Amino acid sequence: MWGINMTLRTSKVAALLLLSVHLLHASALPAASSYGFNAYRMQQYNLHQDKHGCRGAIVVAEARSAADTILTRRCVIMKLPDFTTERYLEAKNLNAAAVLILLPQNLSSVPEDIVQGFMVAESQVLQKETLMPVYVVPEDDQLLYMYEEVSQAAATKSASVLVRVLRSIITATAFQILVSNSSPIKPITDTTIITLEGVLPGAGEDPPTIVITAHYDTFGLAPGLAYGADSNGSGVTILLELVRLFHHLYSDPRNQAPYHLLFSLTGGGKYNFLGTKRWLEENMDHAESSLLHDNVAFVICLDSLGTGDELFLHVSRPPKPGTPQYSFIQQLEQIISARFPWVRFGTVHKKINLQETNVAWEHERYGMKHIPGFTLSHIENPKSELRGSILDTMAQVDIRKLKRNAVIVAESLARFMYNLSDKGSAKDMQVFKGSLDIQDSHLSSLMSMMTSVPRAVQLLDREPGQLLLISTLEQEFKHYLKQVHRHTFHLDRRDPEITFFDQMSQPMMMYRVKPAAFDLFLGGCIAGYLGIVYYAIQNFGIIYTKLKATMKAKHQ
Amino acid sequence: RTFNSDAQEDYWTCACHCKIAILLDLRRKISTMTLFHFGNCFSLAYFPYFITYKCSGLSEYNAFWRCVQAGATYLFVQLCKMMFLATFFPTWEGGAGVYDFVGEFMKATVDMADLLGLHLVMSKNAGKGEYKIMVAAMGWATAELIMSRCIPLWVGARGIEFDWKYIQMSFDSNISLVHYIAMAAVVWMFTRYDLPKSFRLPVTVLLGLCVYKGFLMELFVHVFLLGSWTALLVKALLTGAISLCSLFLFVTLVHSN
Repeated sequence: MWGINMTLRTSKVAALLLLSVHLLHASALPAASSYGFNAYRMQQYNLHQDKHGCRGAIVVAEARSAADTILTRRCVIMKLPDFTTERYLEAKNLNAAAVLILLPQNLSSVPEDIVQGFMVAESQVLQKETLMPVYVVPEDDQLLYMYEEVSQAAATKSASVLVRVLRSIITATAFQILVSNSSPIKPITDTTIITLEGVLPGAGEDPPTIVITAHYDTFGLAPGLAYGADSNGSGVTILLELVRLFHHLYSDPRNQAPYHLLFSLTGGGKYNFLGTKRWLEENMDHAESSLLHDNVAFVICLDSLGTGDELFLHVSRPPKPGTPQYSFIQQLEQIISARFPWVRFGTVHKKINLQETNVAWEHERYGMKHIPGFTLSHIENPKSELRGSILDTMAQVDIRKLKRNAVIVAESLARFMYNLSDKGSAKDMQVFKGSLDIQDSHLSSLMSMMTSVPRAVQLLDREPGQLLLISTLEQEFKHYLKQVHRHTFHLDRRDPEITFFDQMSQPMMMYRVKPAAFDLFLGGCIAGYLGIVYYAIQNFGIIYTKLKATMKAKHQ
Repeated sequence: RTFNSDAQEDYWTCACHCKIAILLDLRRKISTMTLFHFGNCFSLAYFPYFITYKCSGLSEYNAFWRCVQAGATYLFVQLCKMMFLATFFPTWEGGAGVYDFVGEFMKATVDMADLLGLHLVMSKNAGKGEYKIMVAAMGWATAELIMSRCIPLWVGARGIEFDWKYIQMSFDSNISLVHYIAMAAVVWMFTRYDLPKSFRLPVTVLLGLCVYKGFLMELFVHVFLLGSWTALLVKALLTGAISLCSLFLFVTLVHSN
């Protein structure tokens, strides 16, 4: 009986000790009291007098969760699943001060529907302009801690009044987000767009030209985070692979086909294919002789071929039988049906609408100059959100499907140029094999090079990493092709087609603050403690005399 | 004139004015609330010193200037210690995470100069033992409070961010007060010519503990990975134990004969 009592008591004491130790340990907050990091601002641009993006940069606001009810003049913190069109419009309507989006480090673990929802919201948000600053920042421990705290604060709003009051006074930790800069947002006046071109000359007297082109820039919510793996890193990778294969074929003069191959990497693709437009103007209107002037068989534009089990051929006018495009399309269909029957192939006709300011696909720019062409892509809808998103990273690209698409394009081109089906070759004969085989490792190393830096147009002409990438592409061209030119197009100062604005990346500070009531509460506690100290010191004399008396008694 | 959202100048001026207004508002909030926090910390640190000074009867004996002298001795001793450390203990370029036990132990030994300083102060003052101890301890502890706590509090506690370390710093100053009183008492006892043989050992042990208390605390924090509040609690307990032992010894010594 006594033994049970003792064990109960000791276990209670032990539990209390453990709890107090745990509380004391937990009281060491993992968050720093002030934390600075770099946040990327949503891009801001004017396209043909239409304003897009966010106009504001300064943030002085308290952080709140997206699930909170009061968002006025607060900074809304959203994670990837929270950023939907409805939530964003709600924040805008409630006059929130800013939105901060936390981007996970590992995007391959995010479910597909969340990625889709985010991409849709991203494209819709960028269609209009807003005064509310929107920032994107990659996640780390401190920011995740802040998100947890802020979500918990929103969750307890529904709890009872006593809990809410206690929480708001004692334990709540509020966060203040600060972005301050003294200079206003300025437009960037010296934007340049760079387009590269190179030629593989064909055999014969004045043979027709096949143009193969891809745009190499990217688009996304924040220019500093737009890596664009599928759109259009995959297009550039396939183009570079074609350059290498046909260079090897054409190196032997007996193997040259009766077609010139003109390769082109254009910039400004995400903004109505501005680089293509200027390059065409320069070649056709200003140059005396150009391969584009006469006798172009067709133009193949490669746009987003990194994933998917479908291939769409976008044309502005259905090709008539007997034209080179028609026979090339036949080759495509034959190759796909013979070797990759699970791939769904379709042709999409979309007439060029000269009234509309937005150009849907790159071949439309050629169509406006009466050059026949088509765009090959796994995307069916030109307004698809997959064509411009910051979530378009290597996780969105499947190397095997990229290789399959590269094989389809290369084989169809070879069969068309060398007229192999008329010569009676089997449908599933492989032209490129052995030493000319397309290898996974080569494709993935090209993709890694393309996604090593964000290739947004605002950054391509000024950041060292991006300039190095363009130089690398130029070197690749010079290694394999002849007559390599680098065209640098400056935008017209008085009436530029597109204007970008600076301050794309800002240093942001996060401060841990306590509510005002907490200071008063702490003051009260300190007053109580000081009262105890005062009482103890006053009565110290009594203790001293008592001790003296005990000592005297002991000695006597 | 009306605000034209297309004109660049209008947008920039509006942003400027908007930003200035926001900063003014925030600064007003900052100045009231964080000055309150600074006031909290400062009163927590300073009030026990004030009470001790008043209640120990020092104010009746006009001990203010003697306390100031003790404070000046503190400054001098700290300066000598710093120069000694800088000359004989160059910065250790060892591994980043390795805690140099021997080096820190040697550095803590230099803190013996504190004992010498306290002895110097106490030998200058004539009077009863309790009076000498209190004057020396009050002056010493107040000098430490001003030198090592006031400036961090002023700079840090007034910032917009909240950190528990300022409250901890103020508690630490309270603990330091008790520690210095105990240390002065032990030094006084050690230098008494009529100290009984049986007291020699406990007094020496307490003296050693006083000097190496800082080193012991760092050892505990490093080995047991204590949080900041736990470390403060352990420090308070240690100081309390030292001061209680020294109190017992003092009372026994003074009132046994």
